[in-house]
Amino acid sequence: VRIDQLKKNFDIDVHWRAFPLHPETPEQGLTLEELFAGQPIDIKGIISRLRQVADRLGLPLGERKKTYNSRLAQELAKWAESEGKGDAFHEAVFRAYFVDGKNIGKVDELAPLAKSIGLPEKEARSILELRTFKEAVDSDWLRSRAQGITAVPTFIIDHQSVVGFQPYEVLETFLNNCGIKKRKGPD
Amino acid sequence: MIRTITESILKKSDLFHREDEKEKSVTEPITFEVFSDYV
Repeated sequence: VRIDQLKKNFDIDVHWRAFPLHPETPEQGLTLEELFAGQPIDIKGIISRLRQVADRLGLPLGERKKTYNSRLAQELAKWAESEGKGDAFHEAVFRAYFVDGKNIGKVDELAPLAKSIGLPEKEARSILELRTFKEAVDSDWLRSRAQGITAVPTFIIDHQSVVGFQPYEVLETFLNNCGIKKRKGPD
Repeated sequence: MIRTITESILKKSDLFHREDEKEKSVTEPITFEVFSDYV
């Protein structure tokens, strides 16, 4: 929603870049306890902070007990973007994971998601099986490393960045500071 | 005389070229990259 608002108010060309946050996650997923095993991390604290951020931004958030492998979702997103449905697909995947707790590492969850935003399910399955967009995601992962990205979301304009879930006003200030002026016309 | 006119034309041509570039840089959308993951 915030990105939609930015696109409406500024003459920007938004490029989604896939980032590998937990690429080692197996297909069946991991509980958060398994994911952070051996690390001095306060899981309840993380969930609590995430919920605070979601509430502040007005984003729905379900009970998040597990994490899943996002690689196939990223590859299908590249296809959705090429079909002009990138934004709708990103939103559908975020909702499937953060609200409905679905395993977005599985073809049987992802293909119906593609169908739900008007893309052909059969083609979605074929793209995932053939790994048609593997190189596109590999390229994003390499770009993430080259840019020194360590956390997401990270927003970048011409080597300047903002990290973390930010309210719309912060992103607007960031664009202004990068010298990008708001579109003229009625808001 | 001929040389002067030629220089004048070249300068004008150069000026137009630069204005075109300036216009291009203003109207082209700025690339805004969002690095993200779903999990």
